[in-house]
Amino acid sequence: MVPDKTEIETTIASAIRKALNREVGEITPDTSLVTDLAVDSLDLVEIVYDVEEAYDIQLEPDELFPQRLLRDPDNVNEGTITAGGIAKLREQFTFTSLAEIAPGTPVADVAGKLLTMRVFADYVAYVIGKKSE
Amino acid sequence: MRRRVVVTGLGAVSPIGLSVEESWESALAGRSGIGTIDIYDPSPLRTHIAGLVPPFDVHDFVDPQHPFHSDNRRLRFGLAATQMALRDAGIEMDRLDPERVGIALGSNELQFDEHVIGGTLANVFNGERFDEAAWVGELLAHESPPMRQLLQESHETVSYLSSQFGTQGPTASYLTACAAGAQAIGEGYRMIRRGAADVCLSGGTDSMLTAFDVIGFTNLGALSRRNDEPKRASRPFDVYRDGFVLGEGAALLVIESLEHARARGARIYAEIVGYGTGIENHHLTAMSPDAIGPVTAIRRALSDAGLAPERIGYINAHGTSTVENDAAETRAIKTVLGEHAKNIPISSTKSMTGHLVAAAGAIEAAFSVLTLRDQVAPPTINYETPDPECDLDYVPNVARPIDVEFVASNSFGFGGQNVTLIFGCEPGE
Amino acid sequence: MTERRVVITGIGVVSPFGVGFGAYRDGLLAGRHGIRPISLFDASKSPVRVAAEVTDYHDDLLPSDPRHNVVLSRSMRLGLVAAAEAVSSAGLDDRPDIRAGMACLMAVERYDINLEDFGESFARAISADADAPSGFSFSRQKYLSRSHRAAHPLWLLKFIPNLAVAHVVRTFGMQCEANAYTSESAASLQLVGDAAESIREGLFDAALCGASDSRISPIGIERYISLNLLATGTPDDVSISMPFDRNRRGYVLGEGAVFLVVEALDHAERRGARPLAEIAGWGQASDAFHPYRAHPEGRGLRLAMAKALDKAAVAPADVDCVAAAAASLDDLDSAESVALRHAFSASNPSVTAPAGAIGRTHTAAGAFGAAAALVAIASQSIPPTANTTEPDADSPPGLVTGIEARPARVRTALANAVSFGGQCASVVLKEVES
Repeated sequence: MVPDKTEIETTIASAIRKALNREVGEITPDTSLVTDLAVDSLDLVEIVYDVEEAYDIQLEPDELFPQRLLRDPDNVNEGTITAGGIAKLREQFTFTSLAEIAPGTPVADVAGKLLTMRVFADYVAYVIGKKSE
Repeated sequence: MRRRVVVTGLGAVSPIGLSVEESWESALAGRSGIGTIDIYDPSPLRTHIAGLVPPFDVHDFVDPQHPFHSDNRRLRFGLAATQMALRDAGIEMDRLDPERVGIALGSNELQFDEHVIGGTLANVFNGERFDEAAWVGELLAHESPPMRQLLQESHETVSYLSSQFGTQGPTASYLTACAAGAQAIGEGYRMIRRGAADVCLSGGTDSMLTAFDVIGFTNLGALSRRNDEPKRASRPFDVYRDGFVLGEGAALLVIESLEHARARGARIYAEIVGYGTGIENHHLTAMSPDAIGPVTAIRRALSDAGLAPERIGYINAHGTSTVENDAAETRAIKTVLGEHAKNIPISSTKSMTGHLVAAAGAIEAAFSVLTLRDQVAPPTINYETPDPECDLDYVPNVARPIDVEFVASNSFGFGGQNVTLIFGCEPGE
Repeated sequence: MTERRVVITGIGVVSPFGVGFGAYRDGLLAGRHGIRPISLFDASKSPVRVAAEVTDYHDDLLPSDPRHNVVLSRSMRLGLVAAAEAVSSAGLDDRPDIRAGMACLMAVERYDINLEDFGESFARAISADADAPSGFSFSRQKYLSRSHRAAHPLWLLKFIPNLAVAHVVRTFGMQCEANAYTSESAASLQLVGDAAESIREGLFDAALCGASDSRISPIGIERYISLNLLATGTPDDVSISMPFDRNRRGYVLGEGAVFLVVEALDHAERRGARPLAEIAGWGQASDAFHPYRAHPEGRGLRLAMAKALDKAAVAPADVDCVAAAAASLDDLDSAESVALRHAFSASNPSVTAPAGAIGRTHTAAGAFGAAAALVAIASQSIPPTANTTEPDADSPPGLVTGIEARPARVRTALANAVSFGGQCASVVLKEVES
């Protein structure tokens, strides 16, 4: 059974608080892990790990943080995302309703927009769902 | 005037050959040494692939009477590579002054075997908790060969080498992770330059392929998981790279003062002309946006060599095949070399050997020296789709004849210690 | 051209006497020792019951980013605290500009798997098994596929030795050179000489040099017992670290950290820093004898001392004090006795062995020796060798025993370090005339 989104968000939020080990204020579905919480690569390792443990699932880093997609020259033009790139993102992020991203947005900003609590929780729900199928 | 330091002997065992020449031939042919781990069953792990050194008999290289623990892979590789390097250099140790011979070796941390730890702990478990007090006794009662491996400490390879080959000069092991092999050669070069020794056996030996090692790096998201295509997994600078592939092996360089080499009529491969190191302290493990550590290392090496950046004709890159490293290294090279960066061939031989960790800088130094000898750049294999962040000439897939006078070799350590070595052609009279 | 002179301008120590160089100095001078029943793990069934543990360390002392506490091994923690004191005592707290140009050289070594970090992960892979002698067996399959995940995901960062350096350079904002060595005990003296050489060559003006070590653990104990190196006994046998004593029967595990700020004298003078001593000479050599036994004639140490004295241009007769490497080991102490008699055939320097008080601190031992030499120079007295009551017939004639420091004019002191693998290092320290 797939737990509801609120429960998953609570799990993720507590993993974030544990990893950051400092006062981070309120965490809402719109909170971006990158721009609002300044989560770094080691923090992410801990957060992803704890969430995987909580639901006994395996998260694929490239599905949640599409580094590969965002480096592919077909999708990126001079450090900004192309319309084609956005289409590819939407194809990959079918598990969530992706925020508006305009062509020409710098790739670095795209990562911030993508990695919100909502997207993270939707992805976890999707992986749990796939597993219980 | 400072003493000049030259390379007079090379020895190696690697995933692509059981000697330097065999490894070099494989590298020039673009042969990958990556396969499925077969020294234990890796199937429960997320990564199953690595570059393994083919089996060989260590007694071809050392006195069978010597009391070394032959099941330790680092030690076996190190002993074999050292003996080959000494033979290559035409050195018989009893003809040298042992007090003037040092050792500088890249090494790595203690290794643990999950069988030993788990097996001894099972014997002190009551279903709920461990009797910690009884664990020491269990460990002591455990006398199987893996225990010997458990007991192998980082400095002991050097202790064995020193007692096996009778070197009485300065010795040290360097533990700067992926930079250790290059750092050891750099420190050996300083040792000779400063007159603390005339000859130094310098390089690195490593094997970080235990299940513990694989799990540790997997947790960090550092390893390629291209398990179904091992030979295509290590793909430095390619946009579809997904992490590094662990390798193992050893490479040793016999380095000596130019004076000493000439006095004994030694064949000289190359001169070590520059060594630089730089700290990356932006983040515990990640590279800063401006790659200050690698930039500092390359700059300090150039300054040590007294060379303008334009004099560098080839770079053996650190090129691990992680997303982050290859982009940062490219930025660093562009920062220091400016426009010249576009003109020089750069390749990562890790595309074929995998990442030999503490031995990586050593085997890459050997390849750099052979690049000078043969005037040919080894390729970066598996380079198929360019990455916009990596926009230099990576000698894709096929070796290339080049005309080169000075080569640089980069080695960037996990944890922020970065090293660059610069080699030049055999010095003239 | 005259060589650039190199001095020590700061020191930080975390020892079994407590946190701070002052605690180490006072402990040594009072002839006390820091050996107690082991508290770091349950050693009640171990043949080794005592060790020289650091007892007053707590995490509030850490100068580093608290977010990294989860990836700090005990050894890294002790090292960071000692490094902070060294930086402070050199007057560099408010000088980020100088710190950025400093090198960091550190002797590092092992991390031992322990129950605190890994117990739960192994417990999950152990299940009842009627066929096993203990009724339980370990499943490798289970451990590799699932159970290992009960450990902290970043545990590898505690294992990788050079991460100790990464924490130090990050905490103090250093951007120059860094290196991580091991040659067991010799490493932390070797790097003092290497730093001095680099300063003379002008590669940098100052370096933070040190070591930290902590291996008081079931695996640590097991290793050294199986090599027949440790003294065994009851929890009451706390006086068994007795360097050069004829009743010695092995060494006592110690732990701790020492950092030194090594600096060009001209650089120190320009910024008004007070040198604690001059690093006048250094030498390194090897026994080339055995992977963990000392050469009976002290071949490597003789050579290391000769090189250090030669480099310092100091005659053996001018050495006032020796901080010996002797650690209550049968072969190593004898080898050092022979080497000292050889080096000082015509003179009789006072000798102290700090391992009597703090046990053998492995990679940190060389730096603890240098710190003991600094104590002798700073206090103009030789600390006694704790616990040694019946010196061996061949022990150095100048060995200071008892519980009182011996007042002496100490202008020049020599520190020795010898590793189990026969790597040897010596450093000559000299008083700096004001």
